[in-house]
Amino acid sequence: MNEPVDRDAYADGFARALATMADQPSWLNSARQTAFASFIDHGWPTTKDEDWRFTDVSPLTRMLLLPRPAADDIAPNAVDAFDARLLAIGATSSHRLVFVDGHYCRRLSGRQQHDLGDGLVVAPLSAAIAMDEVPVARVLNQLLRDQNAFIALNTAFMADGAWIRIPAGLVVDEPIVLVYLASSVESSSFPRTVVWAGENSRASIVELHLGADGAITTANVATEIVLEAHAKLRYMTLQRAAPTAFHLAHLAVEQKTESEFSSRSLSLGGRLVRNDLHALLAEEGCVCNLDGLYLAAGTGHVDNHTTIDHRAPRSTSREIYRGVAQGRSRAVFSGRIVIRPGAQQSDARQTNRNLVLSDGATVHTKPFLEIFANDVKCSHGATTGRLDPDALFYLRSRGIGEKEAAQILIRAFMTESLDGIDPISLRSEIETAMASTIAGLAGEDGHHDGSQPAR
Amino acid sequence: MALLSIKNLHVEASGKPILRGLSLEVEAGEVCAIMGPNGSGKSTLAGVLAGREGYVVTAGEILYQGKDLCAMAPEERAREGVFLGFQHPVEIPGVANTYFLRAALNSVRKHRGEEPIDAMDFMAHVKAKAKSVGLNPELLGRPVNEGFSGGEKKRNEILQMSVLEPRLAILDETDSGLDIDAVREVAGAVQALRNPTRAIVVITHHQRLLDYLVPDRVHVLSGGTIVTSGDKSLAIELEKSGYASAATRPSAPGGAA
Repeated sequence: MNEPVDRDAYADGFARALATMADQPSWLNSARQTAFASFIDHGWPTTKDEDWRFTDVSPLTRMLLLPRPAADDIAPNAVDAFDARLLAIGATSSHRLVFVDGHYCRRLSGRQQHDLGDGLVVAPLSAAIAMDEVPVARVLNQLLRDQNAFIALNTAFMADGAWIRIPAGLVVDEPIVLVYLASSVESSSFPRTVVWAGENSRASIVELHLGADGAITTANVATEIVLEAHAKLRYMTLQRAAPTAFHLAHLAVEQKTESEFSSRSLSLGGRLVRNDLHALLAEEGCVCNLDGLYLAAGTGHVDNHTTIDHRAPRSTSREIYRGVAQGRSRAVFSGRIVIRPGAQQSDARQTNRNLVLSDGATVHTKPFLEIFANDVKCSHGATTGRLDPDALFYLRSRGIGEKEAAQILIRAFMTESLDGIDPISLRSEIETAMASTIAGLAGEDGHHDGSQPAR
Repeated sequence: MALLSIKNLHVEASGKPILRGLSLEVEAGEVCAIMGPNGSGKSTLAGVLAGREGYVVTAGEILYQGKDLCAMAPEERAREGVFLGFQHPVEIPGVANTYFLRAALNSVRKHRGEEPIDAMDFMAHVKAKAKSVGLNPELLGRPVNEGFSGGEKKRNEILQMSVLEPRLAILDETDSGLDIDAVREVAGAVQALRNPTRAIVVITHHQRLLDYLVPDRVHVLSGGTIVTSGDKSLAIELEKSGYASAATRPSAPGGAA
């Protein structure tokens, strides 16, 4: 059923990639081999696959997705190709790693982050692997293991990424910032982020994925996170790819007893964006909060698939995803909640709200509840509608122009997804970075074409 | 020249005639009340004046300061000094009241060729205004009208009027949903905004608002047209005898042509 891959070209690419990774530990080598074999065997997903029904990856799979060799030197002006306001997000953090096209860039990163004295490790994954840090192997390739072609390819080809270890009991005040840049060179990157949050630890991580305009790049991202008992972790991803670029991201988190995971996914553009998030509430009393904002503009396509798997009793999950679709774009939301037998007193609530700004834009929303326990609270709701004409008229009746009125309402809708970002300075950096994007959404596209809103 | 001059106005909504040959003149400095039973076309008149969508003017004209009001977008009318106090103020989640007010004021100022108001100056200004209309200043930082009580919403309308300083304010059922104390307070706040260059059109079907906001003229709207006009005593008479008798009463001198 799946689309076969170009076996020879990929085998050749894989052999070349392995040659550059000769000094890696054998467990990783064998994981890569297995992943690559799985990729070749299973091929690309197609729209016949329920998980990919609305997302046709064939424009992507017609290309060869192979890693770019590490550049010897990154030009100091490499960052000029990126939106300065986006780059400013979390830029003052002392825990900051920067990657260009999947390779760690020491020059652009903060000080070397290995061994900060308090046991916190924020390091390039390549360095952690080279030192064969035992905890890396306890997380890497454990949660994401060849579930689909993209995950398998990431494991086979990942050159670098981040390894974050937050020791038990440590409270990290400053956000840990990971910046993944796709430069103007046409290439594919395979960043891998691996996080281990020890018992009773507290931390906040921000993962940025930014693409330079004009380039056909593919970011194939994988993130694995383990939260030990009572750990609290906030995890924000902010992604904005060029309108020509592809971005696929898989994030898997495993939560142990009474841990609290709060994810915020801000997806602000690209030709094809697919975000998969899988939260496993493995032990009792976990809290899982998923906030999401996705923007599909122009002819872009953005697809968010989330799964929250309640496996043990007394866990709570809250999910609120907001989407904006403009132009001739398409936005997809699929929210799956599973409550396993024995996961009694689970409490799961899911909301998906979509704002459609033009006739040509399409939104697909699909809640998907699978409940196998009887003493649970579970609710979901989805709405898709236009800007409220009464609110638009109210603003205009006070002298505010039509375009500005639309902008105000769009901004209000979108920035609700930023509520609760801590510290507040981080929120304002994000709001500043989003301002021009929001301004570009109102106006040209006939948001005010007299059609009745769906409410 | 009257500030507002409506001549033989015919308006349809959803293909149904609502206003049928309405004529009305409103002078600067005047407070006039438009009274009438439910379904007489009062809110349609308010909506047409503010430029709400869904109404079709099939005949007649509306001149505001000598200009064709119907040719202007809602925001242009507002910038030219037309203000509609909504019967049902709209809740706008995620937009702070002060942000909204400042955006509105700056739009109007820009139209007048004035500089945008400084954020700090504006806060001081709007807090004073909120106090004068009896609006809890805490509501300034909250999203527009969200979770406001009926009285708070109406006070918020009057606050907007007070900040935007319109030439022509149309207050659509500003008294509806308010208890008698709130009616008195809101009417008092509007009374304070009376001035010789401003006209205030009060649309209501109760006389009680007019006890505190005494009109210069009263017009009775029925069946889509002004059937009679008079001074404040007309409102009192209507309260006693109802609208049915007003429809047959000859128009007082100085009313609609």
